[in-house]
Amino acid sequence: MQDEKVFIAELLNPKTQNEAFQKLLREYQKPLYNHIRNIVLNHDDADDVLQNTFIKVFQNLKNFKGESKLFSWMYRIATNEAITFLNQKAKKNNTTSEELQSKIVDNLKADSYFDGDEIQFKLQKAITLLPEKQQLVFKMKYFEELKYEDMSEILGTSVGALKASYHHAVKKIEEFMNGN
Amino acid sequence: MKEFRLDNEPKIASGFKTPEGYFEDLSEKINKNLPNSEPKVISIFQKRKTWMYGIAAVLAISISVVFYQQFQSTETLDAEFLENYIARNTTVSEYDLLELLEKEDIEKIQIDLEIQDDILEETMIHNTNLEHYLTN
Repeated sequence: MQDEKVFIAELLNPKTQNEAFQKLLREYQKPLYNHIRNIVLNHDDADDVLQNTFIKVFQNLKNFKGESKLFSWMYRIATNEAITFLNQKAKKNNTTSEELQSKIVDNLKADSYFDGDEIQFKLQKAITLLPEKQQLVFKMKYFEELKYEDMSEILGTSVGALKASYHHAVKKIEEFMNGN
Repeated sequence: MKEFRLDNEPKIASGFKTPEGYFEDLSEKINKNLPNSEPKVISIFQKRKTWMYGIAAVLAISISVVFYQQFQSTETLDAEFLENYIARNTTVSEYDLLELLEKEDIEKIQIDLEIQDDILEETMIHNTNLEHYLTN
């Protein structure tokens, strides 16, 4: 925690800000990319959202109060940016974000930046059948291996509710995988 | 057929991949778009704003000058207006005024009034109380 306080101070100090921000970029670009990509599914969209996320992080550093971990705060910005992006894309296409995700997954095999096998494709398909919040919880727990406590800070949901959500998600996925 | 249990299966990856060298170039792309690195652009709307503030200031000064002049002019009362106002609203008669004035002052007020004959004749025709004029 003390290290994080020092790092935050470096991010806020104009003299050390640039170097500190480059360190932030190096450390978080991959995990944040993976998180965003799991939501928006398409690489080019994930690239756009990731860049917007880091710009927003940079612009709002002065507003960061330290009430949560820096990592949780950044993940929250990334999650909001990705969901907003999906919603806007869905609106442009006169559809819902769930339907949009389902359509994108149906076309995954044609996506040059998806090299999953049959079981990976089936799992992605099974996830699209879950409610939006359950999808997010499942992806963050299963693919990104985040701790429930960290997920609770990012999503603003209790650990208990997250565990229940994940449990239901797993059951529905297993039903789909066994039926297909 | 073996039942699929997620916990029993080897970890299934998402299947997503990135273009070659994507993360190597990413920092540079982001740094280019950060607020500090953008060249300062003076928006045309900002210039227009400055003009609007200037026009508003000129208008405000003009209106203030007009109001000030009006205020000034109301301090100088028209003499004739003032005289008529006093005449209409006073309870002091000419006789009261005469009593207050000295003989010298009364003589100074004396006005040479040239009355034309036809007007005098007209007055006498329409005035039935001639006796008053003949005896006083």
